[in-house]
Amino acid sequence: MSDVSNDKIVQLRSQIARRKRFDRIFSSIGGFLVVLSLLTLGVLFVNLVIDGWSALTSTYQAKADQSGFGRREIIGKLIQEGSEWKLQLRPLVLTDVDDATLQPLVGKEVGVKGRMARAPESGFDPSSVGPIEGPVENYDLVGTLTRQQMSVIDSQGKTVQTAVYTLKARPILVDVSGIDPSKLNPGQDVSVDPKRALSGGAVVASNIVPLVTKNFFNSFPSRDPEQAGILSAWVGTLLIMLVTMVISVPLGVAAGIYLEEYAPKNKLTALIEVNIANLAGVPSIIWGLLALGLFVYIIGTGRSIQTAGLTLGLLVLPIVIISTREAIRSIPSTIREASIGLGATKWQTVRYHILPYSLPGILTGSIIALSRAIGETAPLVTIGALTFIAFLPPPPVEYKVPEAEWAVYQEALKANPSAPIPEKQWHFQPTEWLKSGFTVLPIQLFQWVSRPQKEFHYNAAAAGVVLLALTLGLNGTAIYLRYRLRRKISW
Amino acid sequence: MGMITDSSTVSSGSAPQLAHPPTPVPRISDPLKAQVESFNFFYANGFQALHGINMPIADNQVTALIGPSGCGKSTLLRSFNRMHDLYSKNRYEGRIILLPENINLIGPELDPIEIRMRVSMVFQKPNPFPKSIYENVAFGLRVRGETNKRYIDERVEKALRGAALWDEVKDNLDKSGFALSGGQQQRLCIARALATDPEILLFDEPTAALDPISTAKIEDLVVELKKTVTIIIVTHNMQQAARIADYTAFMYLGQLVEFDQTNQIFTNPSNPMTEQYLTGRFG
Ligand SMILES: Nc1ncnc2c1ncn2[C@@H]1O[C@H](COP(=O)(O)OP(=O)(O)OP(=O)(O)O)[C@@H](O)[C@H]1O
Ligand SMILES: [Mg+2]
Repeated sequence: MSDVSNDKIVQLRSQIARRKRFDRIFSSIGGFLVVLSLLTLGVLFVNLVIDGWSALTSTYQAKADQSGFGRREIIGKLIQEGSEWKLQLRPLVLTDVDDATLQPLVGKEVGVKGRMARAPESGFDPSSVGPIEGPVENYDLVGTLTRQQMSVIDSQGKTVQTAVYTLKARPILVDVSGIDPSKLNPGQDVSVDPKRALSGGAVVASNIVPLVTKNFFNSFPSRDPEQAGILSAWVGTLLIMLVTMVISVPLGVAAGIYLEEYAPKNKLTALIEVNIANLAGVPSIIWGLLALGLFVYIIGTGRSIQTAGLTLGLLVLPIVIISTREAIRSIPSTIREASIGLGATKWQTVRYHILPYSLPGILTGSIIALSRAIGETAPLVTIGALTFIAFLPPPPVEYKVPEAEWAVYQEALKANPSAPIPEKQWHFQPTEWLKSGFTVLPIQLFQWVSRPQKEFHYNAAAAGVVLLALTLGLNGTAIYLRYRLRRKISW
Repeated sequence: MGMITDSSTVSSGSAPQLAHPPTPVPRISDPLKAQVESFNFFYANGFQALHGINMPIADNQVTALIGPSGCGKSTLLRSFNRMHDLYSKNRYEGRIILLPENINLIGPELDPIEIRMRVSMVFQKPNPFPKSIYENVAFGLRVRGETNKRYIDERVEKALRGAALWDEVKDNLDKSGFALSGGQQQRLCIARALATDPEILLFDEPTAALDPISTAKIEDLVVELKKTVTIIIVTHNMQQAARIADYTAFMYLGQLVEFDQTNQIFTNPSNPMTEQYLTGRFG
């Protein structure tokens, strides 16, 4: 008797063990895959950050009023001594010099004559450097010369020893006549064109251009990878996302509410429902084609921010509609019945109950939709996004010389170099930016990747980090909002 | 929907599976609040859930609807405030007369919102809004466009007192209605329904989800409330019907089998099916 029951238990246990084996297999495979995907994401991110770090963190100085920074400039700092203004130049580096001629001058006062600029931030033809003879005023620059032995890599890739000379110039006087001194700031970094600025040992103040510190985020794309940045790309991305949101969220939420709360349940609405689900899966390039045909050619909205925003808005509209409907469906029908049962109209029920309670879901869905739109490249290339943009869309309000007057002035300038500069005026152009050309982060990234120089690839990686951070940030916000808002409402 | 049909055509043999012909319109001596006449109901899928119901509703009395699961109690109850209109294609036939105006509740010419403002409902599962206790009760007033804070305050207090909940929540009116116990939530839903001074209050198994103590509280409340409002209550609990109802209707397979004063139904049912059900032989 007890043997039989023992048998039974043994059988039972082996059967349970057999069944449990699948649990073990599945949970270990699942766990492995989760770890793998996290690892992949981590490696991806770390790799991007390592590649892009130098581009992300490097800075350089550029003229405030121009996007690029000319190579034949010398830069320094404005200083004030009593009522006199002076320019303290950065040490000038002289390369490719004839060691034999310059070596005797090391440690002595030298003067520089002539204004030939040669290399970035270096400036002077070594042949114009010599010992001071006669009055100091005869020289453009006066300073001391130092020499350093350095290893450099030559064009054949060989390391060679070369002498590098550095000229520490004395501060030069700034000629401030005819200039409002309050516009000069002591300690400010400035740039001077040596060909125009230096005359008789003094710098003409009107030729001094202030410098600003530029980095990856506030620089335009450039031929020089070290100075190229993502300013136009992230501004474009942000503005297009704004338009996308303004279009897709109200429309999508309204459509979702209508379909869930108002539309009769019949064959037509069933068809619409299926269609929306299908639209969500249409390849994005198809949306680009549609937008090109409809917006650019027929309606004529141009290859502009508004077209891009419209296109992406339509692209993510199904996502917003679907998530809105899902959020509304998660509200139990008893709540709806309670509200209707108290004599509320449909709209009152939507306004006071359906919308507030589905808000977490709607918000999350909208953010997810945006984070999908932010990475879209294909439809924007199709409608004609620019790949190299060194301007920003016009701000809504601007203080500038009217374009027509500026053209007239340019004409007048040819005949009369001292023609009066036209007055600046306030311009209100609240929708002008919508019509501007654009680029976005993923397109900028792609453009950099397709360049042969390795330095551009670092820029691409840096843009990738920014894009990835934006997307992860958006998704993180969505998760956080869902967590925060759902906590208050649980059915 | 709402097509008015001659009662004779509806009641004759519409449910052959029921051994008993539908009851004629029962007569009662109490003044009436409503009168159900030859009432049929069809769900959107075409299923006829109610067949030729004839039933009076006594003013300021409690009428209980009993019967086995699926017999159409909820369907009938929800017709009284046009809840079925929420889902299109549901169809009413016959009349439910609201007295003293003598208007047809289910007439298509009548705005269901007007009906719901006069006939309130309390559901089986407590369903407070995920808002504060105060806002839950005030909602019915707010949808009527009421903005006077003082007036709303007064009505909220009165409704909460009416639902015997005031003493328990008066210091926490800002607390979420969700934070209350199940029994308190149900009384909150009653207060919410009371706040707008309905003429008829519908209860669909209001104590089905509650413990015995909460149930007793709600039962006391129902008896108390009938002084001011007419009550129709669906219940599965025979003792509950016997305790609180003045009239009881026994339904079976979408038909009204018997309607009478409660003590009559429970002590001396005229229909053998009623007796079988009450003694637990089916259901
Ligand atoms: N939405 C609907 N569509 C179609 N048929 C329905 C629908 N709701 C209920 N029914 C059917 O109508 C009949 C009556 O349902 P009802 O909910 O009124 O029963 P009930 O008496 O309240 O039952 P219970 O005591 O279980 O609540 C049942 O046969 C049910 O299957
Ligand atoms: Mg029911």
